[in-house]
Amino acid sequence: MLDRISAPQTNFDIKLPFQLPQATKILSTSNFPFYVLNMGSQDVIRIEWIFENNPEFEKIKGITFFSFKMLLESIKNYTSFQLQEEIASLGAFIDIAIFDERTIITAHCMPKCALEISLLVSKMINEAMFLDSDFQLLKDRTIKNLEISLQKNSYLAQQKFKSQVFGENHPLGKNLIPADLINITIEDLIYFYNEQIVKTLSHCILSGKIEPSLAKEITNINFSSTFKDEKSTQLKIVASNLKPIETYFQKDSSVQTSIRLGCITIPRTHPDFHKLNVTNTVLGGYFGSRLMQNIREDKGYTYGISSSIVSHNGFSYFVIGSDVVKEKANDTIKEINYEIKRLAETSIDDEELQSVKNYLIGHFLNNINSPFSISDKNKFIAHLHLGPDYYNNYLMTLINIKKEDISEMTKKYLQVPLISVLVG
Amino acid sequence: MVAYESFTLKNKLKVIVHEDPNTSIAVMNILYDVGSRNESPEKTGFAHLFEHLMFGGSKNVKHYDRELQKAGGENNAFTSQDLTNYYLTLPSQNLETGFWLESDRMLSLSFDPEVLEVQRKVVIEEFKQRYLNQPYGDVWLNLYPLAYQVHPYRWPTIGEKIAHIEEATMDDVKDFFYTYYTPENAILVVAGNVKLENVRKLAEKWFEPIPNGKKVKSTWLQEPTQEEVRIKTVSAKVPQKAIYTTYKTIARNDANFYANDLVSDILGKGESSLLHHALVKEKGVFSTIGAYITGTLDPGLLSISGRINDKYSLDTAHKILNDELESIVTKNKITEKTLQKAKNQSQTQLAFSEVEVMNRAMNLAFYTLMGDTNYLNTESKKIESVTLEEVKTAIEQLINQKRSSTLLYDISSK
Repeated sequence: MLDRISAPQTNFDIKLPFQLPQATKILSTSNFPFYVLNMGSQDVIRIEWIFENNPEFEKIKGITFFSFKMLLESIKNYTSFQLQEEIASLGAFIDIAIFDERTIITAHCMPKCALEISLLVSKMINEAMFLDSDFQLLKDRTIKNLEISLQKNSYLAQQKFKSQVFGENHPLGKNLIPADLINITIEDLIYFYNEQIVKTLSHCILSGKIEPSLAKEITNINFSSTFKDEKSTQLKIVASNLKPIETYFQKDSSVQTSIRLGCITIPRTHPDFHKLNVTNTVLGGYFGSRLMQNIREDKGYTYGISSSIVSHNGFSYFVIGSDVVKEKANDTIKEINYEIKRLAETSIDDEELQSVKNYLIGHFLNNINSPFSISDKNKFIAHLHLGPDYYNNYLMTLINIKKEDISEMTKKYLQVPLISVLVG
Repeated sequence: MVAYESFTLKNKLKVIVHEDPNTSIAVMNILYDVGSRNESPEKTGFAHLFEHLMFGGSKNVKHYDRELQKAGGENNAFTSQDLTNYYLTLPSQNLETGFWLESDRMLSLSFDPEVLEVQRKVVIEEFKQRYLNQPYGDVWLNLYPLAYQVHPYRWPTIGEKIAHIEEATMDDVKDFFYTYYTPENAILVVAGNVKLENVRKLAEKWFEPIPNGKKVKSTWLQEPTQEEVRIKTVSAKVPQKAIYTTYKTIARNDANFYANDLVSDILGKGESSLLHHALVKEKGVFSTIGAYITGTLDPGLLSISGRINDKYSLDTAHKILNDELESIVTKNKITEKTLQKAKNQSQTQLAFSEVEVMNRAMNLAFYTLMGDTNYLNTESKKIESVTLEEVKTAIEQLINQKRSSTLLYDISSK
């Protein structure tokens, strides 16, 4: 008779020390660094160009965004339409993403067109035209997109939360509104382009099926004629508010309230970080978390609730987020505080802790399965200065963490004055 | 090339195995041949609500998620108009846990009334979060019933209205389970760092004892040919006026699917597409525009949507869009070069979609449902072999105003 009651045997043998496959560093003749991770059986390649942002320039809000987006408009010998058509004809996709510390141009393509796409990106970086007609269209579109975002409670809550935590003048805390963007001129962008974009290209990362001969051809391209050294932006933070503040932005038309709750916390390089990360997972970092069980699976107040630790170079912030039944917003906050208190004061039982540890090991294995996810992990280590042992230390923590650690981490880092923002 | 083997158990459960020794994980994907098209018009949104209940305890296992997490696994699921799909990943040495959990919930749910009460609330919040509390969130709540008048595609998967979710009963849940969650109505794909023989042994051990229910041949009304222009205007507090228009197109497994799919890319995929070039860049009528086809198993829709610049009225923008579509057809604006460009992008996307083993498993399940598992390996050729002639025929048939349904989205001053 088949036993359907007892769970089948499981095991979690991982070979330690864990070694993340490393990218090979190749320097061009002008010493520009390329990181090449040749992996995978599918005919796909991802190329990323990393630019380090200079937060000083963001005194004109939105200037980094617009200046970089203009690289996908007209460039020498190509109208913006011709450029888009050329990219598409190569069967490629190019995207420009602006983050707080850096901007990344990403190309997804097949190996057969990787060289041509790289040459095209080199032209985008070095031969952008910055036509006012392109810019006006881009500006109108961006302002409309922003207006749509500003109607979303979750967007507003996230933005207002970060303003409260970091201050409205901090790059992470600035509230962008349409009025900020209207007065930006093409001259602002051209100045930024000359002073910033062409000078801040830091390195290039290639991952996927990149044969050495192809890598060699791409690394021969001159992407930056002014390259000096690899940079890594570090944003400064001032000690945040230590008083718990709750701000409620009421919107009568809303049927749900978006909640954010959190604080600044320790950087990834801190010796407690991995333990805090596991603690956060118990609280709200996976489907079986305390918050999901309480707020969704027990009370049905929300479709989802989660907590996470977002890391920057030198610091992190902890944030809990959810969209809940409007009438239950305050009750949700109460329950969140109750769950943090419970995690601090009542010892987690062995089964739950084991379950979280196993889940995290499986989750880790699941995330080192493609050349792109491995490349992302390498990139993460480099950008946050985490050192080569980072993931091995993480796995060691998963194996060794004890239940006392969970309550200790909660007391030390989560049971602290939290800033809360409610919208809706 | 995605290599696979398949076999069928005595209870008629189809099993497909795709070995990939380059990964350390195993994945399981179970597709049930039931979606919102199988729902009764009085009980819409039920297939999706039911998907939530599948995580609320089965006959011998109270907590599906907790047990899976203990084995290092993670999972999710989705419901569409045509199907419900459950998928999980595990460290490959713990694969048997997946068999234990999935077979138990195929055997029987626990039918716990409290689970129904809570998940009902969760789904109502999902409804609000996605469809009501977002600018333009209610588009498909309005547009599906305009484009489809008898076919069950006339309501979205989340359901026609919240009341239907509030009214669902435990009897409905049981009926649904015994009707659709049978071995014969499911397709199991196991992939990753697994071995065919081991999967066969595990499948026989865990799934074969499940009795096969009666295969219900479910039927639903097919949509008659549309013969009139349909337009509806709604208004909401949004920043920009918008147009969402649809044209009737063919089913996913129609031989001309890729010609139609390429037409939608040529019209409205990316900034070099014909509509973006003409209406955003050249004429400045729209600030965004895009197109795609729904790719459903019954005949689907070509969807074209865009947000309109302030100085144009909805009617004017609608007319300009229609004129542009007309001129693309009559003036032969699609060239060999345009077609090749769309094909190249399609091929790249196809290649990227096969990077993750989970995606390969999902696709194998989907194509098995469509009737040909190996379809996955012929897709690239199918895209490449589409001719300019076929694309021209496709667009001529597609762009017919009498087969169009349009939602004009106005700004309300309230």
